[in-house]
Amino acid sequence: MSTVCIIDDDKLYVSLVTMMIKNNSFADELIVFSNGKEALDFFKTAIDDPSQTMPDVILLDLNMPIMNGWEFLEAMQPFSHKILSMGIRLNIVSSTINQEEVARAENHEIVHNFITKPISKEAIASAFVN
Amino acid sequence: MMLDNNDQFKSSIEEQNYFLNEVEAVTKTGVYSINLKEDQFFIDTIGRSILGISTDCVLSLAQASHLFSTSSTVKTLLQTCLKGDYFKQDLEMQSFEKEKVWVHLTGKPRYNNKREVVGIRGVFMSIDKYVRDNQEVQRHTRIIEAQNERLLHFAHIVSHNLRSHSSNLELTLDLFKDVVEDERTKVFYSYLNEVSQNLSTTLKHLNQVVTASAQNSSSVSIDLSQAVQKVLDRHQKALEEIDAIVKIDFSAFDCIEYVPSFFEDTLETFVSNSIKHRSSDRKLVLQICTKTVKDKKLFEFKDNGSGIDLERDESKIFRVYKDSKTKGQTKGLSLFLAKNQIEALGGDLVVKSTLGQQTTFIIKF
Repeated sequence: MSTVCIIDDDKLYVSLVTMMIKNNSFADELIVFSNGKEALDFFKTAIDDPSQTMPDVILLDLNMPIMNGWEFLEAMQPFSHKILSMGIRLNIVSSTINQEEVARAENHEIVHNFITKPISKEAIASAFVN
Repeated sequence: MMLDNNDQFKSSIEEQNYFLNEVEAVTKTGVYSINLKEDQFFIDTIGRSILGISTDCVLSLAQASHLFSTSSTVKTLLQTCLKGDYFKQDLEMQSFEKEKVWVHLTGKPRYNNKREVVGIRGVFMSIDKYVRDNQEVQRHTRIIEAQNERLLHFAHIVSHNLRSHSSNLELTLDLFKDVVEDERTKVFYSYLNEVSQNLSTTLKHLNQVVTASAQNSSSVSIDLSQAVQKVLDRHQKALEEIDAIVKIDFSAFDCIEYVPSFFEDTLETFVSNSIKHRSSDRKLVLQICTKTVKDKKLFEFKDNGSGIDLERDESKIFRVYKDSKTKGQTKGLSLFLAKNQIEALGGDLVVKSTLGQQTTFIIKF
């Protein structure tokens, strides 16, 4: 079983995705952050701490207060090789219709998949596979 | 013409003076002359009226130089003529009452018999009205541009925020599906599902409208026969059922640089509208052709259906959800979207129709 990290400020969305993940047994543990800053603070300390459980999959929203998804990705740049070597799959989940943003996300070095909201069971499954 | 053909007019100085004065008055053109040796400045009546100088006022060169906005302008114009060149330019002058006046000013050096520059003479025309009108147009353009930008930004935010809600609704229903058990809940579930789907479709269309203008860079060469066939294939069953006849003529041109999804969406709208609004009195005939009129490329889609009462509905036809026959559905956005997409690529979509007989949609590329 694995651990999923959800970084999203939409509480309803987080509840729904949590339900979907549990119903389909995609993961047994969830870590939730409501913006990029909270998630960054966690990763900064946890990434070098063997006692901390690192997520196998990250579902990152783009449009968030305090620190948005893009700012989070930029701040995570120094840890990108660790993220990749640990096999963490960082997925962007967004309702953006901006084609430039979609292309930018798909071509980002540490982004595993771009998933459009509303997220489906199949799309969540795709976040876990190579 | 009269002057060329009639010696009487040609020879008459009075006539020439008359026409010269008329031209001056109609075009609001003044004449001036500067005597550099004797520090004298001459200006005619029309020139005086443009610059607000009374007829009895005699100006020295120094006083006349104040008619220009800056002393550097005077210097530059003066030096141009002293070098033997001439000037012709639009500039802002200052009337005697210190009001700004835009003029088109010319000046040529005047020589004495030793080929020394002794003066400058020229004409100037008031272009104040045109410059100010133009400035006003530019000001309005800037306002419209800023408003458009704000509207687009607003539309982006609205569509993004609505998408978040609609996607949560979809997700909720997706999860709800598994726990629906009794028949009554199933009915309500199906209603909610339909509402959710309609909302998502409307948002999809709204997003297409919002992104229409940003997509004109993705134009490619489209094979018209293939594109039309693709859409007709989608409606093959319906067209066969009603025994429709489709006539295609792309002899004028058979391919076009366009955004494929825009062209396909528009065609889809035309075909489904034609099937929906066909006449019950006769077989549906679709005539799809290309034409070139005055170097303009046109794509025509004509049907012999029930037609549209343009006198009543012309202003409504390209508006959102104005199709009375599709009330409550999201299809009504199609023609609005089609026009929006075509206009985003610099073209136009027009409709011609005779009620009860036919409808023709023309895409002007």
